[in-house]
Amino acid sequence: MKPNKPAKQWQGNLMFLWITATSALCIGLLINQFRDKPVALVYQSKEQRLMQAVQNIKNNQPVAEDDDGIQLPEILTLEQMRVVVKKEQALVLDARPEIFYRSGHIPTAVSLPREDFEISYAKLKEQLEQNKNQPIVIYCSSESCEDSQMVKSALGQLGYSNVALFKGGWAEWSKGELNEDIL
Amino acid sequence: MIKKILLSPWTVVLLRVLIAGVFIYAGATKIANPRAFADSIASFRMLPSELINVIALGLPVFEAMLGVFLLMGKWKRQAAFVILLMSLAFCIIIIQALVRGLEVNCGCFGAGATSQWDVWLSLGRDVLLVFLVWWLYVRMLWAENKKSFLLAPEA
Repeated sequence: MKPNKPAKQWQGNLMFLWITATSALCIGLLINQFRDKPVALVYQSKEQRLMQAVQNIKNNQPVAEDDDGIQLPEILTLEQMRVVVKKEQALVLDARPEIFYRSGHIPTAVSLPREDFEISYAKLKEQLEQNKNQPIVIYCSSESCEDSQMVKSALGQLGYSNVALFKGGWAEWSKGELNEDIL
Repeated sequence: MIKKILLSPWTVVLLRVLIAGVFIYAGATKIANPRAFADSIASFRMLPSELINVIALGLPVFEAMLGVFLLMGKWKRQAAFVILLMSLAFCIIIIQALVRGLEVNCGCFGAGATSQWDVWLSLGRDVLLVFLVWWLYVRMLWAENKKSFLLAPEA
């Protein structure tokens, strides 16, 4: 006896689901092999990934030298941040993914994304390691993002002692700039 | 008027293009940043760490493929069926996260900030998607069965 039409359609749907899902998984794994930094098959949390990067940096790092600089409060307000940026009193770091940094960032800020911490740190190594007491301000997207806090603790582990957060992040800064333009 | 719009063949074409576009875009953004998508999956606290990255690598390609199949037309009915199942699954996953009071990041279109408002927004979007895909699937089934009925030899 031939299966009726709805049963055939169901069979077709399930077969399609099985074949497409399997092919997608294979293609996904294949694409991963061609990435600059392939994703490991077992998941590591953001904190674990960052700590791993810190450990890798620590393993090939010379001892830091001391130098005095301006002491920053732990958390900066928008007004304080404006002064810091205007007078270039601190090294400003953007902890968001680089694509967001490219589409807009606080003036004088350089990119040190949480996700690619190890690679970006290597790029900024000279600037950062010339003085581990230099004032540094980190920000990310907004108050709800955690990247700036995570990068701050990573830098703390690497021996940076004068690191502040601009909690409002890019959202507060850009809103502030917009308000100033309107006024 | 509404009935006329709903039953129009152009509605089916429009829905196909719209839903396919959403799935291709969602897949592409996640293929570009699998780590951020893995973080989103982890925030739902449903899967063991051994499965999270495998799904983060496979699911975006799956979504993009479904979008392409829906657009191409060769297996459009099957693609609509799977998209319907997936959208239902997404709704259930988001609802369970809300019930458990988890602060999750939907990750539907790549990385984003974690907030309760975003989760409700994602749920609303998914419910709307379920209705649209369900309508599309029913229309496709209906069109297919009607065609075969018309072509069937007389008993």
